Amino acid sequence: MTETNTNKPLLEVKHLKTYFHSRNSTVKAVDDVSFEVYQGETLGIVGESGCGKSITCMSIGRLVECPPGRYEGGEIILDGEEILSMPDAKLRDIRGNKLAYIFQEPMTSLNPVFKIGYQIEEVLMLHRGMNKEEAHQAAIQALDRVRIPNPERVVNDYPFALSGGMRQRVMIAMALACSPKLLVADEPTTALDVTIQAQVLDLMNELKKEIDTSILFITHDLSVIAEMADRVMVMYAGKVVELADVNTIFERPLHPYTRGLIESRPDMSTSGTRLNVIPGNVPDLSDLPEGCSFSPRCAFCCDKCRAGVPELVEVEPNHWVRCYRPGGEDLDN
Amino acid sequence: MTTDNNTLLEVRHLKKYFPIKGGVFQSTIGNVKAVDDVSFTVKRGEVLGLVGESGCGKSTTGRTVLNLIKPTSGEVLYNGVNIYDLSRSEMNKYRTKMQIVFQDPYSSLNPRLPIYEIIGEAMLEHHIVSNKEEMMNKVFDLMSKCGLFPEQAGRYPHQFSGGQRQRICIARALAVDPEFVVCDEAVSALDVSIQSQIINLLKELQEDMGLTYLFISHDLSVVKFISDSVAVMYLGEIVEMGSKDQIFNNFVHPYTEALLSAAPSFDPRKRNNANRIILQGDLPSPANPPAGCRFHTRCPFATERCAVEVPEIREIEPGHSVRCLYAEERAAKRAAQ
Repeated sequence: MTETNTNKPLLEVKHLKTYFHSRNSTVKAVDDVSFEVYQGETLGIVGESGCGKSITCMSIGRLVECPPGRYEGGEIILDGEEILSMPDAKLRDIRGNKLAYIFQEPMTSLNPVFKIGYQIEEVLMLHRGMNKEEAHQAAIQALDRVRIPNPERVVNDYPFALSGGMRQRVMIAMALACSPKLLVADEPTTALDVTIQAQVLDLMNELKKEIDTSILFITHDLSVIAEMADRVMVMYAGKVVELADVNTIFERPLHPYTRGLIESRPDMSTSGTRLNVIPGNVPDLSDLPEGCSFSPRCAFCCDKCRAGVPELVEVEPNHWVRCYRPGGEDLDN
Repeated sequence: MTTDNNTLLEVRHLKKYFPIKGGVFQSTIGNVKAVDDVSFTVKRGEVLGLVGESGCGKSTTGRTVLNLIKPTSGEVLYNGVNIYDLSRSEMNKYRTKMQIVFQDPYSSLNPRLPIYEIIGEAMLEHHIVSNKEEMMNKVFDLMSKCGLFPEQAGRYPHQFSGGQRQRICIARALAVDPEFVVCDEAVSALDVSIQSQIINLLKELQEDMGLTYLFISHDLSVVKFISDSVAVMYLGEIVEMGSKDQIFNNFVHPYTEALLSAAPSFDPRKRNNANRIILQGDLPSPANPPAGCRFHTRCPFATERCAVEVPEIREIEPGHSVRCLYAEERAAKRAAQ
C-alpha cells in the first residue's frame, strides 16, 4: 500500500469543520479534520460514539442536515472537484455515481415498499441512462456480483423477505452498481452476527480488488479495522488524534487514547485478571474540557495539556499524532 | 450429572417454544423452538459464558432460567430446588437470589425515578432493609462499590451517560444481595473504552461478593476474558460446552471452530489467514430447523449422514460435551495434530 501514497489522492479533506448549532450551544462535531484517501486504498476511521466519525463521512457527500448542521469551513475535493461549494444538481450527479454509501442498518436504508430490483434499477437508470430492461439485467448482475443466490428471484423480493446479511449485500450491490470511485462504509457490519460479518468483510475485500474502488471504512471495532484497513485514522471528540498505517497503529500507537483503546480490548489471546481501562467518560461535545480534549482521561496529562490544544504533528514519516507527549515521552525531549 | 454442593444452578432439558398463531381462528400452526432441550450446570462462584449468534436462544435461556418467562418443559434446580414448582410467594423469595442485568441501560431504567429509588425499591419490597434510612445507607454503599458518586443518588437516569447507567443497573441487581446474576449482553451496547470499565467492575464484584454469573454475549473475546466455562448455542441447542480452555483451545464442534475463526483478529498481520472458515448462508429459521444435525446446512464438513441423523450431545472428555456425529473423530484428529 505504500506505493499508493505517491499518487495523487482521490479524496482530499482539508480543515473540515462541521458544527451543529442549537439555541444555547454549539457542538463542534467535526473540528478541523484533514485527511486523504488514495486510489485503491482503504482508510479506516475508528472512534467511539460521538467522536465525529459518522459526521465526517456524511459531510463528504454533503449529507448532514443543514440546519441544525453547518459546514463552517474547509474543503472536500473528490477526484478534483470541490464538494462543499458545488451546486446541488452537480452533487446529485456525483452521489451514487462517483461516491456511494453503505450504512449500518440495511433495513432503514432500503425502502420497504419497493422491490429490491427496482431500487437498484433506479440508480442505474438515473446515472447510467439505461432503459428498464437493461437496468433489470444489470440489477441481476449486481446481485450476482455480491454472491446473492438466485438473483433472478431476489430482484422481485421486498426487503423484509431478506435476512440482515442479505440486505447488507443488497446495499453493497446498490452502492457498487455504478462502480463508484469512493465507497463510504459507515459501520457496515456492526448490526450483523460474527459469521455474517466475516462473509460481508470478505466480500468487500474481494470486490475492492475487482473494481478498484477506494473505501472509507468507519467503525468503532478495532478488530474490524485490523482486518480491513490499509491506513487508520483515530478520532476523539471531533478531532483526528492519530493517523498512520495499520501495522504502525497496532504495533506502535503513540497517542495515549489509541494505546488505551487497543489495550482495553480483551483480545482473543489476552488472559489475565483485569483489563487496562481508560478512566472516565466520553466528553460531551458541547462542553469540552480546556486544553487537549483527552487530558481529563489521560494518564500522561501534564500542565501543558490542560492549557493548550496540541497540533497534529508528523512525528515520524506518515505517522501523525496530536499529543504533546506522544508515547508518554518527557516534555523536554 | 449429579447435584453436589458446588452446583448452584442446574438446568435440565429446558425447552421454550413460542407458538406461531395463524389461520382464521388464530390456532397454533407451529412453534419457534427458541430453546430446545438445553441442559447445563453452573458451579458456585463461577462464570458460565453463553455464546451464539442472534436468534440462537441465548437470551431466552437466560430469562427462562430466572422464571421471567415460563418454560414449555424442563427443570431449573437452584440449590437443588426446582424453581418452576414454587408458589408465587416462594418464588418471590428466590427472586432476591437471582438477578439480571440487561443489555440496554437506556430502556431498562425508569426515567421517572431518581437513582436511589431505582436501586433501593427492591430492598424495601423484599424487606432487606427495615427503614428508609437504612436503605439510603445501603444505596450509597452500593453506588460507591459500582463506581458511582453517592451524592448523585437524587439524580434521574437521563443525567447519566451509558456507562454510568449500566453501573446503576448493576447496583440495582446487587441491591437484594443476590448469589446469581444473569448478564444478558451487559456490555454490548457500550463504547469500547467504557466496555472494559464495566467488564472489570463485573469481575471485581464477582470476586468480592462471591457471585455466580451466567454471562450471555455474542462477543467471543469478552466471553473468553470473563468466563470460567463456556457453552456455545446454535438454533436453540447447546452444540459444545466445556471449560474456557477446552472451548477456545481444544474446540471440537465445527460451529465453534467457525465462530472462533470468524471473529476478526486483532493483529493486522494475521489477516487473510488461509485456515479461516467463512460459513456460507444464513442462520436457518428456528421455526423450521433443518432435519438431522441443525448445523449441517452451513457446516463445511457435513456428510450425508448429518442430514439424516440427529447427533446427541455427549461428553468426549471430562467436562467437555459436543453435539456432533463426528465429535470423537474430530477430537482424535485434533489431538494427533
